[in-house]
Amino acid sequence: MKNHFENELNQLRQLLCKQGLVVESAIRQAIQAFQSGDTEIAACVIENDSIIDLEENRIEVECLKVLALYQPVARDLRTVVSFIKINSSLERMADFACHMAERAMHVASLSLESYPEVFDFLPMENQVLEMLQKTLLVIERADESLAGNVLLLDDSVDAMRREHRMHARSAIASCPAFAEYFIDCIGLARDLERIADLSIDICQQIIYLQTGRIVRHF
Amino acid sequence: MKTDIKISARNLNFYYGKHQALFDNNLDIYANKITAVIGPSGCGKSTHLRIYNRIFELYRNQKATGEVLLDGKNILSSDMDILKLRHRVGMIFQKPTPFPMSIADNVAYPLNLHYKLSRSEIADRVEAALRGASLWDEVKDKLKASGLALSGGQQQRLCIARALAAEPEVLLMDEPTSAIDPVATLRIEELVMELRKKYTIVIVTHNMQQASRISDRTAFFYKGRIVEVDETATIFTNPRHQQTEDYITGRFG
Repeated sequence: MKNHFENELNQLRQLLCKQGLVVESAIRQAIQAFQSGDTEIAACVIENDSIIDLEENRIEVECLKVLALYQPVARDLRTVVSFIKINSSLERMADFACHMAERAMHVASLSLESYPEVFDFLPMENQVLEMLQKTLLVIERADESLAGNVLLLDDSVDAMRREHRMHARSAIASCPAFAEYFIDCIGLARDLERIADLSIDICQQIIYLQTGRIVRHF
Repeated sequence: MKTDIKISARNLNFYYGKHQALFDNNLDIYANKITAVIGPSGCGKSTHLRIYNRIFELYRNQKATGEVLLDGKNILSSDMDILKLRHRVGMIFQKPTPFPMSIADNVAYPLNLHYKLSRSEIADRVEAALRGASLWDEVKDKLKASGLALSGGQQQRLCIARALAAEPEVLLMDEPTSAIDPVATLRIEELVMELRKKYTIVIVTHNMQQASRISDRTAFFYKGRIVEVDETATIFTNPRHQQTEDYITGRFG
């Protein structure tokens, strides 16, 4: 009986890891689309979002099935509940990838001949992708100490977002012709920051799973 | 919020002859709460429960040491009146144990034992007890029928009614639903939760879901020792001890 249950948990974990890789790929493509102005890639991200949505539903149904059939308690219960929440966080990440792809399409539609070189998103993108990659490892290994490391990276992402917003404000004032582009840049920074926040949520969930301690809001 | 302690077991040890079955049990039973006692077979949970009304004394060579304070008074002391103690601390067993007499007489039995009441007073108390045990509507038209003719679930509720008729303060339940079907089990669980308002309840159960569904606090016994006792919600979401975790998640026991 216990083996059956553990197999079910392993399968759920594998489903989440796969979903995580698909979401990571969507985020990378969305960033690339914004950087390069490639609307085909952006369209692809938006189109593929429905696949991620369907997979989210499937994983949730599987989790509910395990809850109903095995009625887990203690750590087993925390595991399934954490999987449900992580599943939802991954899907939200994909939504932000979509937002970024939509911004990329919008920027492309502005038909700007040149871009003012005021934004360097690369450090923020790298930081967010690093957090995401580590988060996927945290899910796979239920590694609470790595989760703790990811939590430490959040402040720098928040700081970068604030910096980009301040930049954009002054850029709008000095180059009002590019206002719409700058607004998309603010949006992009916000999307990246929200993805980092969701990484944090997932890592906190793994810490809860492992220790029973709720570390959110502290 | 202050919680009243109804029963307090202190440094309680128990022996079957030379074999020690309980080791330094310390447990507080809160008033008007349901305390579930869980643990693998042979861990001492029923043994512990049977000390609370000294029913173990019906058998030879069984001995308890330490203290069990009922409202602060040690029930193990030699000056404790056993009949009064069992009047205050009722017990329900695993298998329904109706007496071979009518339904009404079953419930009236403790009334005749403990009180001098008129017939109409007895009839009133029998009805109240049967209502309290959620059995009245099913048996009101056949009170003279034999208690043995009822279904298993009804028999168990009859036993609860009989225990309630004595107006106890504490109800001890030793796996009260292990011999009855799931629907009757749920009825009894509902009943137990209702009874909590008036009584202090200690229930020994092998059914983990039952413990989590109905109890306020849970004590986990293992090899005669109390490993962990806490709020039931804590035990079933985040137990402190690995042994508790392993037992309730079915990894041993």
